[in-house]
Amino acid sequence: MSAHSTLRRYLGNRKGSLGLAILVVLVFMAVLAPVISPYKATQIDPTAILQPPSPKHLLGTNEVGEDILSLIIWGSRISLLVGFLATFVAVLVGTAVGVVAGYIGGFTDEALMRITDFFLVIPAVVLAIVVAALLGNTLLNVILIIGLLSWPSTARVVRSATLVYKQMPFVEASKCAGAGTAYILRRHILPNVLPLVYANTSLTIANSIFTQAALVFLGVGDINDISWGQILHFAYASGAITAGDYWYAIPPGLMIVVAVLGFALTGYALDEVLNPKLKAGVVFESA
Amino acid sequence: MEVNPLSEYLVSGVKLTKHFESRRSPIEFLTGRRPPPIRAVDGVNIEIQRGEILALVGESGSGKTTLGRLLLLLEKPTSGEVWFDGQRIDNVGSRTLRAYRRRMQMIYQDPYGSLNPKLRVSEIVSEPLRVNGIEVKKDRLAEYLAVSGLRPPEKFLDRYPHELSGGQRQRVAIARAMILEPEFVVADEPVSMLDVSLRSEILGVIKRFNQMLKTSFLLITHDLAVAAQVSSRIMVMYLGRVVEEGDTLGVLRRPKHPYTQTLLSVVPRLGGSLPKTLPKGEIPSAKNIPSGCRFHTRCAYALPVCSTDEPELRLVDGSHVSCHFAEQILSGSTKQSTS
Amino acid sequence: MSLLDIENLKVYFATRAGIVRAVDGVDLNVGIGEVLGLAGESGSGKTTLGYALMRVLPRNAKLDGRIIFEGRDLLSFSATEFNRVRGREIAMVFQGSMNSLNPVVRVEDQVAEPLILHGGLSEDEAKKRARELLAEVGVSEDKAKSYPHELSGGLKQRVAIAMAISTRPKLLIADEPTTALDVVTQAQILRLISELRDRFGLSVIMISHDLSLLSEVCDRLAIMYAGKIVEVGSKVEVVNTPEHPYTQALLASIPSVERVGVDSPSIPGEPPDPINPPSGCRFMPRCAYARSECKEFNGYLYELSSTHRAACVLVGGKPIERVPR
Repeated sequence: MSAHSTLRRYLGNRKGSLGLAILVVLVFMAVLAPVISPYKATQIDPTAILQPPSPKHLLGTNEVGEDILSLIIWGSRISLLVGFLATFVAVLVGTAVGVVAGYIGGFTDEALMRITDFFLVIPAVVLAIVVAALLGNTLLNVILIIGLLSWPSTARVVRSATLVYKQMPFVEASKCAGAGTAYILRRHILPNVLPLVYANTSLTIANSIFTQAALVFLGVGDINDISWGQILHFAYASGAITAGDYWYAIPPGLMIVVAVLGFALTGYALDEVLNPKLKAGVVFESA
Repeated sequence: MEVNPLSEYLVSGVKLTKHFESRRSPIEFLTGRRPPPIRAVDGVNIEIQRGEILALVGESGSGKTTLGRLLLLLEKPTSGEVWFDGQRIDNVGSRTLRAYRRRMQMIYQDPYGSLNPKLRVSEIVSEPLRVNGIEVKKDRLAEYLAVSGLRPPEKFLDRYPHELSGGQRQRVAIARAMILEPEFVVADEPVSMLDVSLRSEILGVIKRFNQMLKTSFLLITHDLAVAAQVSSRIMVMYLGRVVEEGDTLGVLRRPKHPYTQTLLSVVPRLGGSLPKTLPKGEIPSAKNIPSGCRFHTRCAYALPVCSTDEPELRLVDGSHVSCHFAEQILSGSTKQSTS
Repeated sequence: MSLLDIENLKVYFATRAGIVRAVDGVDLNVGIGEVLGLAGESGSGKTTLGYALMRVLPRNAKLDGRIIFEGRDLLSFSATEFNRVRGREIAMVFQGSMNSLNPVVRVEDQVAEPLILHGGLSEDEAKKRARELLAEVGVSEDKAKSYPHELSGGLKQRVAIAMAISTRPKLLIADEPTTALDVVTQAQILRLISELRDRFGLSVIMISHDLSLLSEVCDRLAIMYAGKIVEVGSKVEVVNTPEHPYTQALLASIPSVERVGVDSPSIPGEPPDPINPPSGCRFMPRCAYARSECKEFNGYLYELSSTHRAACVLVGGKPIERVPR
C-alpha cells in the first residue's frame, strides 16, 4: 500500500477527515498563538474583571482581568505539547516492551506483562499526584509521569501483533538465512507492527491531553503554565464556576473535549485505513 | 536399515524422534495426569545424497513436515541424531548452528505468508546475502529471479508481494532460498497452494536449481504426481514412521505397501474415475497410535498379526517396505477384505 | 432436461482502477441430476460465476444477462423473492466453508439451527433431522456431538455439505470443495458428492482449478478463461478431444503420476488483465496457434457435436491447418 493511496483512503473516511480538520486547527492555533490571540496571555485589563463576553473581550475575562480567548489560544500550546511528548514517551516504551515481550516470549514475556498489568490497573491520576509530590511539580515531570502511565495499552497491542508476525514463515525464512534477533525485529516485526502503533498513538495523545488537564485542575504540575486544565483550575478556585460564570468554565472544557475528539477520531480512522483486517469481512448482499 | 552417518550422504537423520507435548484438558489438569504426547516423528532413519531430490510423501498428520524441520533443526529432536556433511549438528551450540543454517534453507507452502508484505522483491531476495555480510550485486539478484522464471527480472525487482500472483510469489520465495547456494533445501509442499496448471513449472524451477547448484532437496508433498515429476527417490510416511522407500519409478509402478497403493489410487487422473475402494476413515491421531502396524486400522489386507506385531522396514523387490505381507500383496496372493 | 440455463451472464465490478469484467458473457446449462465441472485458473471468474448464481456479491458488482432456473429468470427476482431460492433451491458449499463453522456450537446444533429458523421445525425435530443429515454425509452420531475443532478437515467439510443440502436443494454449487484436504479425504468427499447426486438427483456445479479431479466425478466439463467459457462438452470430449488451444494447454500442464521425471509443458505468459482484456480472443497472446483472425473473434462457441462446443476460430468456419507459431 503506497503512502499516496493510504492518504486517499484516509481522506475518504468521514471520521478521519473531521478528526484531521480539528487537529489542523489546533496545531495552527498553538503555532500561531502570538499572531492570532487578541492579547498577550498574561496581559491584564484592570477595567474588566470577570466580565461576560463583549466586543472587546470575545469570551470575557477572568477574575484578574485576563482575556479568556487569549488564554485558550495560548493554553493550547502546553496542552498539545504535553499530549505529544507524553505520548512519545509512552509509544517508545510501549513498543519496546511489546516487541521484546512478544518476540522473546517465555520468562521475559511473563515478567514484562505482569509489570504492564500493574500499570494498567493502578489509578493513573492518584499515582501521578503521588509521584509529582515526590519528584516536584514541573512540566517535564508531568510529561514523564503521563508518558510512563500511558504505555501499557501500546505494549499490549504491540505484543499481540508481534505474536502474530513472529509465527509468519517469512520470519523463519529470515532466521534460516542467518538473521539475528535484532535484525528480524527491525526489518520484519516493527514495519508490520507500526501501523497498529500509529492508530494507537492518536488515542494516547487524546488520553494524555485529558490526563494533563485533570492533573492541572487538581493542582499537579506547574500552575503558572497556561493550559486548558489550568484555566479550569482557576475557574474553580476563584469560585467562578459556582457563581455560574459560564464564559470562564465552558471554553476550556470544550477545547479539551474537542481536542480529545479530534485525536480519537483520527486514531479510529487510522486504524480502519492502516489495519483493514480489523474491519468486518467483505460485505456481501443481494445484488 | 543401518545408517552410517559418515558415509557419502549429505544429510542424515538417525532414529529421529519428535514428541510434542499436547495441551492438558481441564480434567487432566485437575487430576495431575499428563496427556499422551503427540508422536509426530517416531524413530525415522533418513539419508539424503548430494544432489538428489528425495520426495517425502504422506497425508497431513504423517509427520513429514516435522521430519523436514528436524533435519533443518528448526525443531529440536526429542531423540536421535542429525548429521550434515559428516558432522553431527543436533548437539552443537547456537553459534556453530548458525554457520550451518546458511547451507540449509527452506521453501514454504504458503506463498502469501512467506514474503514480508512491507519489503520489495529485491529486498526479499537479497536479505540472505545482507545478513551474511555478502555484497549484494544486482546481476546476481536478476540471475536468480530469472532462473526462478521471473522474466525479465528488472520488471519484478521493485515490486511488492501484493503486486504478484501466487505463482510469482513462490518463485520469489525460491529465489530467496537459493541465493546463498545452499547445499540442502527442504521444500514443504511448495506447489500445493498453486493452480494445478502452474505446478509443473514451479517444480521445473526446483529441478533447474538442483541441476545448476547441485543442491539436494527434500520435497515434502502429499501428491504423488508432484513426486513423480522431479524426485529420484520417494519415501512414504504414515503416522511418524516410514512405510516404504525406494526409487521413484519402483515406488510408483510397483508400490508394495498398501498405504502407498492407496495414495497412488486416489491421485486424480485425467478422464479416470474415483477408486472403487477407499480406505476406511481418516488417519488416526498421533496422540493415539494404533498397536502393531500403524496402518492396520485402515488397511484392506489387515490380518490379526498386523494389530499385534509392528513390521520392520525390509528390502522387498528393490524398495524398503514395512509390511508383513509385502511379497504376497505384490504377487497378488492376498485378497483385499471388502471395505 | 435443463435445470439451469445461464444466458450471456456478465458480472462486472466497479473498482478504482476500472471495471473488472470477472464474468463476461457466459452461456452455460446444467441438466437435472448432472454434475458439471467448471475449470479455470485463479482469476478466470469461475468463483464469481458461482457467487453470481447465489447472488452473493459485493456492493460494487453489476449483474447482467439471464439466469433461468426451472423456467424462472432469477435475475428478475427482487432480493426478497430471491431469498426463497438462495439456500433452499440453490445451495453452495463455499471454499473454506468448513472453516466458517461456529467454534463454540456442537456441529449437530449448527446443522439444526437453520432448520428451526427457516424450516419451521421444532427443536427436537430439527435435532433429529440434523442427525439424519449428518449420517447421510458420513458423520457418525458421536462425531455429531463434537465441536468443530475436534473434527478433522474432512469431517468438517462433510458438516458443511450437510448444512448445504439440509433444505434438499435442486442445485448444489461446490467451490473447490477439496482444497486443503488430503488426497485420500479428497477422494472420499468427491465420492460423497457423487453419491448425493445418485441418491437425490441433485444437480451439481463443481468449481475447481484441478481438471483431473473434475474429470473423475463430472459428467460434463466447462473450461473458463478470462471471464468466458472457451470450451464445454462431455467429460470424454473435453479430456480426449479438446479443441480449444487453452484446454489443450491446460490438460497438458497437469503433473501426472504416469509421467515420471518429465516436466509437463506450462502455458506461457500470464492471464490477461481483467480490466483491459485483449480484444478478440482473450487467449490469443498466449496461444501457439494465434493468427490475425483471432483479433476479430467474438468468442462464439462453435458446435462440434450436440454436446461439444469450443470458442476458437480454428474450429469454426473454414477448416484451417494447425501450424504452431
